[in-house]
Amino acid sequence: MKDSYKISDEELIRRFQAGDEAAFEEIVHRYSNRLMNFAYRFVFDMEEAEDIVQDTFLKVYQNRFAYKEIAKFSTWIYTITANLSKTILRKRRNRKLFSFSRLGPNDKDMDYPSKDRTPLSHIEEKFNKHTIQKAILRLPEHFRTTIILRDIQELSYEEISNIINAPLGTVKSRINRARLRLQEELQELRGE
Amino acid sequence: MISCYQFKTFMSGYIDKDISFQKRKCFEEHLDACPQCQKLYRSIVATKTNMANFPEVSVSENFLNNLQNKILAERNARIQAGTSRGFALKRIPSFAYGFTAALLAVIIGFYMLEFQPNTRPPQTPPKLVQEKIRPKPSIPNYEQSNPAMTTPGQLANSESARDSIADTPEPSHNIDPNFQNKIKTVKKAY
Repeated sequence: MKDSYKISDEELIRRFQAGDEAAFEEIVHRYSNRLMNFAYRFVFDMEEAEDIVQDTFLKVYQNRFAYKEIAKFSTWIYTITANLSKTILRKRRNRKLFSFSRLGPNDKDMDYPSKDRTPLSHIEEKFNKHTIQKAILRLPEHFRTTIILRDIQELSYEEISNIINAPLGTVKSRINRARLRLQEELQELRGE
Repeated sequence: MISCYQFKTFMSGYIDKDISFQKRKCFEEHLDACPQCQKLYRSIVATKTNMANFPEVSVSENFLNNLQNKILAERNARIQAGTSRGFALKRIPSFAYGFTAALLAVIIGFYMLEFQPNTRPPQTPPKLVQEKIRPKPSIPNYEQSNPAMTTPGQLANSESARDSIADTPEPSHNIDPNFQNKIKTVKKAY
């Protein structure tokens, strides 16, 4: 995800810190959908995802002076969203709500045939996005965060390392293990 | 040639093109030779492609309005919390507490020192000055004198000496009120 804006995010937050409210609106405009995608893939609920994104911006608004230009602004805002998403998941787990992650391998009623079938490989045809989403939700939190940031948000290893506050080597091995684990979950969901 | 375990361990590096050209060659050799790893590799790549093409979700139309309302509500709540309590302890800077504590400690210390009972030892004049003020009484040598061998004259002398000892006041540690004057006279004598 490359930014092609004239004013950098860091410049915008600097202006916002100086009292320019329009800069904050620009930040919201730039990041709302990106963060929404991340939060939605994390919690798989539109309303909760939107709440997370709103809370993220509220935190940015309230703690604008906490941001120091030692890290990228995107890293900072993604860290807030990731933390809020994890909090939501924990709350949900405490309430013991029903979620897709508790579905067994036989619960295949939510699978639907893919409409955009392409003459690619057999495996590509078999998997549809919904199954993958379900498999993502079955991953542990730390695997889920890294795989969403890498394969859906397409962030670099360095950015992920800053967001999850882990060394680069840890990030690389975690992404690898997350991908392997995702395959296991997919196989289980397909009943293989 | 690398093993299946090595391939699985470093597969993401190969997929993300995060390994050297030499290692890449080794991976490709293994992929050509191992159908199981080939299947796993293809599966992971397909999933990755699928995930990258996930449909974009976007925020609702009212998102910005809701956010603005949330920010306003938060701000009002803060203002109300501040005004509802006329005197908010949180608003007092932390250094003020420290300063007050230090001031109290100084005041208490001052009063304790001021009103405590006088336990200091009384000041006694220096030895040399004492000697000048009060001449030593001549004490006869009792050890050498044997009462059986003493003459009546000597006995009378010794008795007078004993009286003189009895008359001399016990050296006290009380402050002599004329102590300063006596020092002056001694200094003059010198």
